[in-house]
Amino acid sequence: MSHPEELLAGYVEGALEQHERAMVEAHLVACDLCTEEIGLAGRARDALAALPEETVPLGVTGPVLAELYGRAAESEEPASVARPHERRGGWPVWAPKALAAAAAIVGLGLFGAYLLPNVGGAGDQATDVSAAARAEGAPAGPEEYAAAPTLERQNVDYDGATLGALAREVADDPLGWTQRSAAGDGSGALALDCVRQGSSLTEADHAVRVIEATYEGKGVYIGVFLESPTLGAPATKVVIWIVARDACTLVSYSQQLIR
Amino acid sequence: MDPSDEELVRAFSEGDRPAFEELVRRHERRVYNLALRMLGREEDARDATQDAFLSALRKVSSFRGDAAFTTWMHRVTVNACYDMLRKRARGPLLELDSELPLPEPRAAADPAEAAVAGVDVRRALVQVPEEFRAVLVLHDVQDMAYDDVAAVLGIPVGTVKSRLHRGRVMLARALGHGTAWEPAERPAPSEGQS
Repeated sequence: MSHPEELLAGYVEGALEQHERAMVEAHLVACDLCTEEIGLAGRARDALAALPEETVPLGVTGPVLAELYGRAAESEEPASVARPHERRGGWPVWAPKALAAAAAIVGLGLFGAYLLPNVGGAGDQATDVSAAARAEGAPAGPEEYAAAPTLERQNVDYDGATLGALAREVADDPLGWTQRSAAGDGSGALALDCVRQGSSLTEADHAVRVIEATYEGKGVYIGVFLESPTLGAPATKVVIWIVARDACTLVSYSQQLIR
Repeated sequence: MDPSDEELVRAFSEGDRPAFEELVRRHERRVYNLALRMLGREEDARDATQDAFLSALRKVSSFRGDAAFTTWMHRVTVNACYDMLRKRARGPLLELDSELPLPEPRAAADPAEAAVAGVDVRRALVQVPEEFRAVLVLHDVQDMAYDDVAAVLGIPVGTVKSRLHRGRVMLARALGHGTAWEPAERPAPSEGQS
């Protein structure tokens, strides 16, 4: 007996045309094997549909981004190429984004401008966030360091697992870390600049921690950022960028959803 | 409006590197889950996901846009999984069985029951031969249409349908349903002109 192999999957899904279904049903009357298989296939399909979608573990795509941006740093691209670490006039091109990030803090309603630290060495002017936010399109300047957290010097050699713990620590208390970073002394500014050079941060990424440590034996700066889907919205993700201290090139990248 | 995948590929090929990062973010979940179901072990799925994106990064200039980027990315991922399966060249499947970690239970009506059922399915799935498993995962787990599965695997649609049915029956038997699984009980179905 020949079996309607190509129709049985569609029969189980209820996806056949009427004449095809009639053909299969006529066959099933006389074929115990196909009848049994229809029952089995239905169970298998249900079991597969019930498999949960798993979350991507932390750091899986880090090496991909490292290669992506590592290449960018190594190759000489035409001037039109959008390179995240490009500098103009001595300041990174992040300034408008940093202004927007500062505006996001105001948007979150967490602090007034008076809470933002005044950063020595990176610009001594008072940080008027609302003025900065109004000055969209203003030339890049030191305002972007306004919210740099305190540099944490840690005698820790991070790896994938400890990085995961770090991300979860921040994900568990995003508001607390945001407040602590805003009250920081700004000593993380230069390290943060290094992290920004090796990353592709957007205006929706807000720095909450900057750490000097090692990662798998290599001297690195670790920038911990809160990412919001849109400017001003609550953060949904913790993203961590790790760059080499000597060259500011990307070493790894991780992220953790905030639940 | 967000740019389409194809627009991001174009932007990347014109030098906009963050465009590729956006593609990674969009697709990493599907790619990782495809790899996880194909390979069974988280550790292997992580490696295959990395390999797939690295391979995509190096080959994306060969993406011509005559297929959807999703289809192309799935093909790259399936190939990374096949490479991984070849590389690891394991011993008997039973050994692999005992190595399978428990999946993390997700929200379900009865989480404990769902976790037990989940691990059974994962163990059973890796016992299904890989060319059948690929069809099962793409269609029944990732909800891809027959045509797209055919495009990803480079086989005729008729072959997708027959492998899907065969694969489901094998999986159910590996799960302990029906009579014991005997692959030789019926001649292999016609595979079409693949």
